[in-house]
Amino acid sequence: MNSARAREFFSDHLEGTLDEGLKQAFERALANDEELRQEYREFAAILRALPEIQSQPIAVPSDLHHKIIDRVMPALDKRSAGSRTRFGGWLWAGAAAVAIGAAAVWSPWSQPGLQQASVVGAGGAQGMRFENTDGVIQFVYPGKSGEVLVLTDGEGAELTRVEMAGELAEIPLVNRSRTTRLVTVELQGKGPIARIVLPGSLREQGKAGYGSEADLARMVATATGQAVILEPEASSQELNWLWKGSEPIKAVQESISVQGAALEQRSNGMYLLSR
Amino acid sequence: MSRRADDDLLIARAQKGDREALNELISRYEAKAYQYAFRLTRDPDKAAELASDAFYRICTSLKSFKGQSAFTTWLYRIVTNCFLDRRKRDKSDRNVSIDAPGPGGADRQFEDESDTPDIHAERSARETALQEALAKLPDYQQSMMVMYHVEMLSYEEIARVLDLPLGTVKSRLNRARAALRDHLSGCMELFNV
Repeated sequence: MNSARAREFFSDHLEGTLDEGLKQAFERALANDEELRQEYREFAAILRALPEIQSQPIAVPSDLHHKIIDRVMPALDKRSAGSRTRFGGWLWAGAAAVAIGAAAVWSPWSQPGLQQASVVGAGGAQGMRFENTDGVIQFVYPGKSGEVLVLTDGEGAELTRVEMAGELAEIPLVNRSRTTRLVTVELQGKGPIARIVLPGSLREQGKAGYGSEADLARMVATATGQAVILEPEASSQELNWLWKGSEPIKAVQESISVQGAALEQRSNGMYLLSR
Repeated sequence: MSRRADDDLLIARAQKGDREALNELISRYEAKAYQYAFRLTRDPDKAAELASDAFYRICTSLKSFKGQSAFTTWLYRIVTNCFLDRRKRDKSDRNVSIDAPGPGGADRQFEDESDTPDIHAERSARETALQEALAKLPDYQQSMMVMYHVEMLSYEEIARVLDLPLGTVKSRLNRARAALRDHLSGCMELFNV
């Protein structure tokens, strides 16, 4: 066996997989060639060291899942042939996270105390709802092709608009800011159809207060980290609420119930603040 | 239920459009995909992109997955293909990945603090040399080397991932190791030879 041929068997010899005849020929070649022996020693030393790379753990970025979901979202949307959307601004950041996964689906509009009539387009909007998937909220709107949904923030600034191309819009709502964000969904030309307060990254204890239902929703969202769904139309009546004891949410519920308002937590974690 | 059988169930559900199942599948394997991608690219952002691209391909071709191999085999194949495709598109990546891990690259790695400073420094230098030498290999060889020596896949598994005969995998890996030795010939003192 010459040196070039012997080099082809470096790995097999190290792993002990050469048959006896080849093994003897290989070892004779080694014995007769100092340069080959040195190469083989180096070859073996490098192979021994290679697993050191493996022993260095690699931390996985905390936002990897969202990045992946962002990337796969178009594939899923193509499959479901849903709405044609034009997303923009902070709402779209990491948005696709919500289109996948288990969603404890419920509709605030079918709950007692809320009027179906408050939903524009009673037929098509029957299943309008917010879904919550691992803390990421998605607004689902079954409507008609050509309808336009406009999403605005608490100051009335437009965040994004969605033009219905099919019969279902799925709009992810991701708040990456520190503080809460109020989002109003309007059906263009027909007024608001849904409102929600999304928690930001800030968490702090709640406190008793006085203000609009949106103010209360912001406080609850900041304290609990849960989104709070509001009725589509803001009420002019302000609320007093308490925040005390070991069950502060209960204190809120009791204090606003005498003012004709209710705060309920749903099985998917989100709160519903209704009048 | 075995992991393989559990995966097969998830895949079957995902193939029928069950997004919860797909989400679970991604959650289960995203770290593996990322870590393999990171070892190929040495760049956290590129690794995240590769992992994302890989799962995108998986989503678009999920229906064609017949379950003849394990999901992880398929995943390695797709991440490898994404890596090779990316390198074809951007040949300049190699220099960047060798010399600069990229913003945030170093701080996303945990340091092994079990060694003394001397041993740690030597080990660190050896690892750097190995990484640089691996990055100099042709992309195909590099991915095979990472799969075998870092991801600890067997020859048989690599043969399935790359759809190559077992003998071809072994001979190509032997050539890749020899090439690696050539690239490291100037710093063999790091390997105590």
